[in-house]
Amino acid sequence: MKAALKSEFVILSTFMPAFAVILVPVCAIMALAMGNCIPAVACVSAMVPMISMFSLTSYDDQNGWKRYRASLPFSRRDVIAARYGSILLASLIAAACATMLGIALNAILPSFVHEFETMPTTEVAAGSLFATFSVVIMVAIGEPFLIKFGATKGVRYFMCFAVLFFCICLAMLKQTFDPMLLHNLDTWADAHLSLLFVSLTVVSLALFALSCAISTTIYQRKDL
Amino acid sequence: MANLLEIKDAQRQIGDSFALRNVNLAVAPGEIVGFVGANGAGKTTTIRAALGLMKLDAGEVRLFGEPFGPNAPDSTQRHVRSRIGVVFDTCPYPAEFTIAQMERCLAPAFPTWDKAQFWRLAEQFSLYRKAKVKDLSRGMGMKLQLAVALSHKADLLVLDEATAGLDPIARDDVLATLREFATQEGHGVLLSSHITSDLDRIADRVVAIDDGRIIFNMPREEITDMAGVAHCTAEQAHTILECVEEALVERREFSCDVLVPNRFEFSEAFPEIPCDHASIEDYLRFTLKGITQ
Repeated sequence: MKAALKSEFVILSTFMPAFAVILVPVCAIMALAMGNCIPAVACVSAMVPMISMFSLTSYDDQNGWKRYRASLPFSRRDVIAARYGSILLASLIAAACATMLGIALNAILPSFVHEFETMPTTEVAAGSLFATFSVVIMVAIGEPFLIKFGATKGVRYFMCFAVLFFCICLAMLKQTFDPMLLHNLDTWADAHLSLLFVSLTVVSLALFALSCAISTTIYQRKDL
Repeated sequence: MANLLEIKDAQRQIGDSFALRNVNLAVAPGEIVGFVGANGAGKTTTIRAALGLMKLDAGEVRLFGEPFGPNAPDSTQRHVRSRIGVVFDTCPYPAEFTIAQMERCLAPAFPTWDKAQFWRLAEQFSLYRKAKVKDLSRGMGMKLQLAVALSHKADLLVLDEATAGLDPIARDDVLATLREFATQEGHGVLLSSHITSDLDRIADRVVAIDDGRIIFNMPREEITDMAGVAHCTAEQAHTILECVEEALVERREFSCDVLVPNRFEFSEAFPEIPCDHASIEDYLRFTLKGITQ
């Protein structure tokens, strides 16, 4: 599995530097606009898992790479585990880099922007990781669609599923709507931030592992 | 020594039709097996089954004496595939990658990867480090695959229509490389192609497939060195078919061509009828379209 992970990560590392060049100014501009680096850092951290997922899937459908990769000395389980492992690794590396970028912006921007709010390093890091693990849940839901249907159809079905899920949640919320719900949630979250963070991390990693198992089963049954 | 590749009674149905029907194929050590057939005959499907990319409805595949398939144990899949070099008909690497990036991506996959050998072959094939895959011609893309296949100490090379679209010089180079590979101990090559002239030159054994069925499986010498095509009249053809076993006739408007299994014996028996040597293409054509009466 290690060999498959190294191979998959080399693919990611070929286009990540190009994204970094784009994401750094995006993060700086967002931080300037919002007067606070946490939303910017969170936004950048959130982009990387999805970019990684869709980019790796797009390579699968190029030139028969998916079939050739299946003929390499990897088991099918290795291929899927490497896909998930490389997305998670890239996401965590991106979160760490985004946190360092946030710390740098905290140090530089107050000199240029009077209203810029300097945030504690722990909160910057927490914001970055919170965003990362939130999007990792979306990756966990989307990746089996891409493994099953490929890049083109998989994206369509995933988007349809996401919109349908959103509409169902809205409809259910409408049935049980409590005007104070959001306020109560916000108050609770402020009081239990650490618990919320740990719960999110555990849930996202558990869903990620479950998604990996589902994708492995799908991939093992496919003709390539 | 066990066969490098053995496919026994392979059967696979795709949709309403049979993609493979009781296919039997083997590659012994030291052998170059030419796998020939028309487009859509089942060559690529057979190769996919051999590489464990596709499940079979019936039959078995053995690689290096071990049962193999998509559901083989993980460790078997890893160590068996590390001994196989694969070349497909189109260059499968991501288009934006440079050759150096592809080498870094593939090297971790093979425990026996020989980086020096890869760059030696890349230089020999005029593949430049910074060249992008999308900028490579078809022949250069094929040579890149071949360089990869020959850089991890593979014992079996499987090439699926790899020489299609190559210019004559590139084809010569590739065939020479394959011949050299097969002469090394314990090595074998499965070369699928509809360009039978390539197989005339290097194959030790020829297996033909049509509509998912193996139609002949024989040493190449029996075709190119023994068989012949006699050119005669319809009346002569009738006589030949009565006298010569396994003869096949192709009737034209004013003459007939008859495939005979041994042109030397035929020439002794029928000295007045011209008989040329047969090629693999002739043999395939007669087997598919020839009749026995």
